[in-house]
This record gives sequence, structure tokens and C-alpha cells, in this order.
Amino acid sequence: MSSRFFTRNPGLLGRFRRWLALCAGRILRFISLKSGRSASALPGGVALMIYRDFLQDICDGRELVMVSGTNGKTTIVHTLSELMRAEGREVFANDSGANMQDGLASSLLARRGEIKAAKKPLFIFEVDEAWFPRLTRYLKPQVCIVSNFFRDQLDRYGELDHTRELIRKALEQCPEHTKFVLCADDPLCASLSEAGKARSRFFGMDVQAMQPFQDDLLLESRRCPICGDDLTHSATAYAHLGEYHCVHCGFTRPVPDFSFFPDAEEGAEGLARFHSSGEEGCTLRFGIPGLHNLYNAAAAVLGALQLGLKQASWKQVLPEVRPVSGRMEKQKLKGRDLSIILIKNPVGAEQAISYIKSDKQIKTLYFLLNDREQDGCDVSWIWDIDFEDLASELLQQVKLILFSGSRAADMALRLIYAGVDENKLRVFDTVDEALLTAVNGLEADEKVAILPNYTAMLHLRNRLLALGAQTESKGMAARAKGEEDE
Amino acid sequence: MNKVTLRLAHLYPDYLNLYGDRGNVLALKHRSVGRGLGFETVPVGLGEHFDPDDFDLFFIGGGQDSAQKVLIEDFLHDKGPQLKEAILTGLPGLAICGGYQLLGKGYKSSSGEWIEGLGVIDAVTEAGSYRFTGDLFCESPLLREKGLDPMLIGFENHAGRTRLGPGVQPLGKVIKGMGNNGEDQSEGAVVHHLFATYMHGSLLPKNPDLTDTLIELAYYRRYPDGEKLPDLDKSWEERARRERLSKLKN
Repeated sequence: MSSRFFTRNPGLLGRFRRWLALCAGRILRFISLKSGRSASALPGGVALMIYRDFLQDICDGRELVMVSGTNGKTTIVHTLSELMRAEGREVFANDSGANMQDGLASSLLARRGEIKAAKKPLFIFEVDEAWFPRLTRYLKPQVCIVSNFFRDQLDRYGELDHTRELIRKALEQCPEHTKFVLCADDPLCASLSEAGKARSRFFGMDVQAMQPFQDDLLLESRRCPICGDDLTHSATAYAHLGEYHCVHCGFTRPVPDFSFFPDAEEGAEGLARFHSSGEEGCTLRFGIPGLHNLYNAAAAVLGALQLGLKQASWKQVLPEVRPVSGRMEKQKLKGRDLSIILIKNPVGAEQAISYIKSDKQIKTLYFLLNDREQDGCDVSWIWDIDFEDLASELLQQVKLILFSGSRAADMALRLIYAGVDENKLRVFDTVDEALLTAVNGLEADEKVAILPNYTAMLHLRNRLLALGAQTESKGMAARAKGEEDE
Repeated sequence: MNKVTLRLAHLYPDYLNLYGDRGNVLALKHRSVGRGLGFETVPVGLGEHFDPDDFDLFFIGGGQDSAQKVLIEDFLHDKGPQLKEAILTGLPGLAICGGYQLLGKGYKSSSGEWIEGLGVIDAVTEAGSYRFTGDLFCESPLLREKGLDPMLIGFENHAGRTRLGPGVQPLGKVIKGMGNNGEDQSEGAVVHHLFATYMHGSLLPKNPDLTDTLIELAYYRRYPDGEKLPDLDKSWEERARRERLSKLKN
């Protein structure tokens, strides 16, 4: 199979169209890069327009993992990639922004040389929820990982039930041999095992580590996803994740095949005991902080085990994984520490804020909120963030809160309505002004937390680079970054 | 002035709380407190007793279709009749999207199923073949009459196409977006002091004049001879409005 980019053999006409598609894609990529534009969607898009089996012909007969769900896709792909690279596998993953069909094709096109040279390439794709069912019509993944369901960018996908239905359909279309890796603690996700019970595996938190059930205002899953009756919740991990069962139809939280027990003190910093069911397991510190990232780590390990990962090797790799750009990324600007945390829905934002509260040296917050197409034009989710409970504590800690982006004033208003003193708020027209204000007002050991949404994060990283900020992440993270820049 | 507390009934907050609708409750609270009133939000859920006489205001948000099906019985039989009577005798309230549809005469789903509504608004809704999603701006005659900026700013996301009966006053005339049905330029409905609309966004934080109107209606209903409420600065709200209005010009 070596020295081949395409592994499928269409007829003569197909081969000709495919050749045209490849040429067009490569030329467009060359032009885009030369003119300083992003080549993350257009080259693949045009190649697919000319020859619609373009992706299928590359992936045919090769190992493929698809990762979808609302939160954590990028971190799961990144962690799974590190786990499999440590096994000596040659991994090709798409970067986070390129998770629709055009982006997938573009990211493979970008690494054509390496894919040709690889003996046994492993593709790991983060897949947009709306695109997932369209892709599994013709791609045949070995493993599908679904992280969770939260409200996110609803103007693009309609309502949450609809998103779940898209993913259910995607799984249903998968071939018989496909394994499903699902979150046990999310009833909307765990119930997807209906598409294939025997080939479903579950990750989750140890029930003993959960809190007593907290009736959250934003609880997404009061109804049983199988029969529609009331679902009984008995413990909470965070948001609507936890332990549950349905009195009516008997649907119940499956016992996880791989789970974690967060440390009581330092769980939010990544310290937890990870274990397969029935095993003692191993206590380690996952390299990406945040409780929700323990879920991502467990999802990645369970996915890797389906691909033949040796039991012991995750214990060495998990502590070495470093954050992907914008997912708890650390940078330094003018000698001050910056933590960048991507937020794009209420649950993600609440997790970010509880992280900020755990680091008392964070004295400045900086929100960047855009409402471009890729962000989901509807930013009404900021009103679903439960700032009210967080505001008072956060206020004692934070000296200044800064805003920029096309919906900066909306975000500022959100905090004012949560009871934040408006004298602490500053709205800026440019990222540069905000960044310099953020670092100039700080003592040497004080830090800034930056909370951008998606397009705001891309712009932020460019400005940080231009202002001479330094990335703290090294090793694996630097390698991951190198991939993105190619 | 003795401190007066407004009590708001938030109907079915567990089920009807899509697209930041909760922001409307936060806005009512923020501006009530800012204008010297006390404010209490009472969640009124499925199966819970509801007496509108205990309240000065009510709010009902939008929900997923499946959620609306779960609570329809409870709404029509256990809470609806007294709510209808209260609305007809001037209880101020705000209903968004799904809540708006529930207060109308009924909803014909895409499968042809007829879901009965409370009928307090003479409006019939039918599922359309695709969703109306995007910015929604409309001009409110009510605010114009009061000499205020009439522009209401929100974001719509609904498949329902609503038609108002003759004589029902819309909340506003659509300037940008689709509104009730995408055809007759009407958006929302006003019945006595009930404002019903498709505007999410959240609506009230970016429309402080409408927030203040609701607060004043509630206050003077309880205290017809009450002292005039003090004005409250709205410069942050205006700033958020300008951010949205700049999009209208482009």
C-alpha cells in the first residue's frame, strides 16, 4: 500500500477526473499559501467538486477514526493522536477549524507527500456534527467517538434533539465492524448505543466521585432519550452528565469500560486515577487541566484501546499531552502569563470560569466574542452561562475585565446583568489595545485569562504572534502546532 | 417609598429556556432593582400549583418541540385557564417563540398533527418546511407612541409560521428578518399587556425600553397611584444596541 495517495481504483474516466481534481487542489493550495491566505477549505472543496469520491479514494481500506459531539472533539483527536504516535503509528489528523468535508479533503491534500510515504497511515478526523451523517454514507471508520451533547451554535443545527438525531443517523450508517466509543454519563450520548449495543464502549466518571444530584437550570436531559418519559438522575459529574436511569423503560447509565476518579483536591488540575473496568488503574496528572478534559482523556484512551493500544502505554503518554491551541493554551506576553481558553457554549464557559477561580493569580479577564458564520451568528448562549452564581467570588479575585470583538458590548452587558461592577469593565476596538492594557496593569506574578470564541481565537493568536508573545507549550504541543502551520 | 417587590412567575423554566431566553428574566430583575424595586423570580414547573394572583408579571420562553409536548396537558388544564383570565384582566407578561405558540389557538405540526393552544391570542401557527434563522429587527408602534426608540432588536430561530386573526395587534412591523410568517411583515402579538414574540437574543437586555415598559405596567397595576419610578441609565444597553444596529446598515 506504500507510495500511494489513493487506495481505491475507479474506472478510466474516474481516474481522469481524480487526476484533474488533484491538480486543481494542489494549484489552489499553492496559490492560497503564496498569497498569504488560508488553504484550509478551498483546495479540498474544489477537488471534491471536480471528483466527489476524492476523500473516499484516499481513506478506502485505511484505518479511520471519526470524532464528533459538542465539546472536546479537538482535545480528543489531539490526545488520541499522541497515544497512537507513541505506539509508532503514523497519524494524520485534521486541524480543528477544518472539520467539514472541504476541510478534511484540504488537510489530507496538504500532507499528500507524507501520506504516500506512510506504511500504514491512521486517519483521525474531528467531524462537524452536521457533516457526520453525510460523511459516513461513504467513509468506513473503525471507531467513532462521540464526546457529549451540549447547546452550541443552535442557529446552525436547530435544536439539540436534532443534533443527536444527526449523530444517531451517522452511527447507524457505519459498517458492521465499526466500534462506538460513547460517554456513559451523558444519557443523550450513551443511548446512541441503540445503533449497535455489542460494539459500543463507554467512558465516564466513577460514580463514587460524583456529587449528589444537582438540579441544574440548564439540565438538557430531563427526558429519557429512548422512551420520552421522565429520567431519574441520582448523581452529577458536571452540567447534565452523571448517573441516571429511566423507571419507565429501564434505560440506565451503562457501566463505563474506562473511567476516571478525579482527585478531590487537584481534579480540576488534571490529577485523577484512570482505570479500565475491574482494574486498579493508575493515578496520573493529565497534561491538560480542567475536569471536562478528564472526560476527553478517557474518551481518547478508550478509542485507542479499540485500535489495539497496549494497556500500559497510556500511562506514560497522558501526562505528556499538552493543550492544543486555544484549549487551555499558555502564552507569555511582556513577562506576564496568559491562559487562553476557547469558549463557545455555556458549559464550556462555566468550566473555564471554575478553572479561573482555582488559580487565584489570575487578576484580569479578557473576553473576545465574535458573531461570524463559523461562530454561529447567534450568540444568545452567553445569556445561558450561569454567571450569577460565579460573579461575586470572581469579582473579589479579578481587578479588570476587558472585551473586544463584534459582540463585545453584548458580552459586557451580560456581566453587568450578572452584577459585575461596571467600573471594572473596558471595551476595546482592537485586540492589541486590549492585550497591552491587560498585561500592563499586572504585577510580576499575576496572570491574564483570555476567553475567545472560535474566530476571535484565530485572530487573537495572530495578534499575539505579532506582539511577540511566546508559547509555553513545548514538545508534543509544539509538534501539534507545527502540523497546523504546514 | 416603602420597598415594593415585583414577583415574576417564570413558567416551565426547566423545559422552556432556549437560546438565552433566561436573559429576559435577568433584564427585568436588573432594571427593576436599578429603579428601586425589589424583584423576586419564582420558577413554576410542571405539576406545580400556579395562582396568577400571586404575581405581578409572568414569563414563558421557547422550547424544543418534544419539551412542549411534555407540558401541554399541564399547561392547558392546570395553569392555562387562570393564566388566560389574568392576561385578560391585564397581567403583564412576555412570551417567546414556543411560549407564544402555546398562548395562540394552536399549532399544526409538520406531520399534520394539531396541538391545541390556550387561545388567548387569536393566532394560528403551522410548521413551515424550513427554519427562519437570523437577525430580526422590527418597529414597535407601542414604543413609538411613548416617544421612545421604536426599534426592537432580536434573533429569530423558528419553523412555525404564525398568522394573526383580524384585529390582533402585532408587536411590531418587520424591518429585517421574517417575523410571524415571512409574508405580512408582522412580528409577534400584543394582547392587553401580554407581549408575544419570536425574538430571542436575548430580547430584553438589548431592548431596555421594552423592559421598562413591562416593569411599569406591573408596578402601576399593583399600585395605580404609586410614585413615579426613577429613571435608570441605559448606556451599556445602548452600546449593545449600536453593535447590532451597525449590522442593519451593512
